[in-house]
Amino acid sequence: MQCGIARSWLQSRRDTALSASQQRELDQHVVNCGECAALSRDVRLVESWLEQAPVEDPAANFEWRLKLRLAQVERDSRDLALPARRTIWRPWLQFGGAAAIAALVVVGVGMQVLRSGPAVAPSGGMAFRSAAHGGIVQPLRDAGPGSPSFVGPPVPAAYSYFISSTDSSSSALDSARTPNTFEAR
Amino acid sequence: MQPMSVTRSGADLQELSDETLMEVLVAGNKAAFEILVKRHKARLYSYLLRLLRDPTEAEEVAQEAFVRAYVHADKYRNIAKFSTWLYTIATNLVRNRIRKLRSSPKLLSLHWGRGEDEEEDREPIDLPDPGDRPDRVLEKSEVQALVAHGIEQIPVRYREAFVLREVNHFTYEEIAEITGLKLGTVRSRINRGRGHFREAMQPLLERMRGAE
Repeated sequence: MQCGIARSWLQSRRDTALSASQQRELDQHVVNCGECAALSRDVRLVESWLEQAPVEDPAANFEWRLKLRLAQVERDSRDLALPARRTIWRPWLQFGGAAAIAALVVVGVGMQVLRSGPAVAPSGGMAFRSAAHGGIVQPLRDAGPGSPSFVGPPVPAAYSYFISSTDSSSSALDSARTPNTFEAR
Repeated sequence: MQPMSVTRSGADLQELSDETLMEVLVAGNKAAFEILVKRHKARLYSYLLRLLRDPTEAEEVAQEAFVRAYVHADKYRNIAKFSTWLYTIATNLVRNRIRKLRSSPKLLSLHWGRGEDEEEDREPIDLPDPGDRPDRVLEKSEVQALVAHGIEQIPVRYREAFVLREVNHFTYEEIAEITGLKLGTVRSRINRGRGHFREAMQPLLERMRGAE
């Protein structure tokens, strides 16, 4: 038997079991060859040492930390499932909220108008008569010199206000601005 | 086939194979995963420690591998062993981490100390001083420390396959699956790893020869 084959068999013994006849042939060669005998011994020693390769333990809190991570992962996956509901929900919230606020403004301003007297028509700008019309303000035609002629649809009392560039004595509201208000100078 | 019960007790679960535990986990019993972690954490951590050589990094990657196994449990198919699947996840994570380290020269020099492919810088193991008794048999802990050091001396490209075979006892086919390498490449790298390990252990081998 040649040393090359013997060395190959010795080194691959862990992977491929030799047949009985191959093992006998190898053993006979090793007895008669000092170099292969040394290699055979080295291979056995190395194998025995590798069997003793230490298995290190991670830190004592490894499992506890892993549990925390898994719990966080589960929380995150639940949160990720929410946005589909949020994106459906939020526009309704916004619409509903805006509607509720507008309704409150209408009620509040309406109550204010009902308590106050008829609006005073100034010399310029557009004036609105309110209150006496059941809370509906009718824009006045030709409210004064320089004012634009405008006859628009009845304006709910909540949106009534007077804007005048000259008259500062108006008692009309000018703070409520909504998409339905009219402006004129 | 009956569906896996989610109400198995801990004692029952201990008896189950890894693959069956995964089925139980997917069915909703999280205790099954705790058992899998207990079974595999030490060997997985040791494998990662041998590749990364940093306990903190090794723990971090081990944790991440378990998290991914848990999150993707429903994707595990019982065509491969659970350990093969878990180690595949872990090996990919290690490679990503090493790649990240290599792209940062500063981090690389801090972490690895020297180029991983520079075989000239291999340091043979340092034998403990025998003192007055040159024929003193090494303690098991001493041998283990020397073995750990010897494994560290193997270049990382061979170390991966070497450790999977020689320490974790995966088959060649499983190692090919874990590493994504061809079978022939796996054999070659394991043989090269063995050669490097024997070389690193030469001082101990010579001492053993001298003692004879």
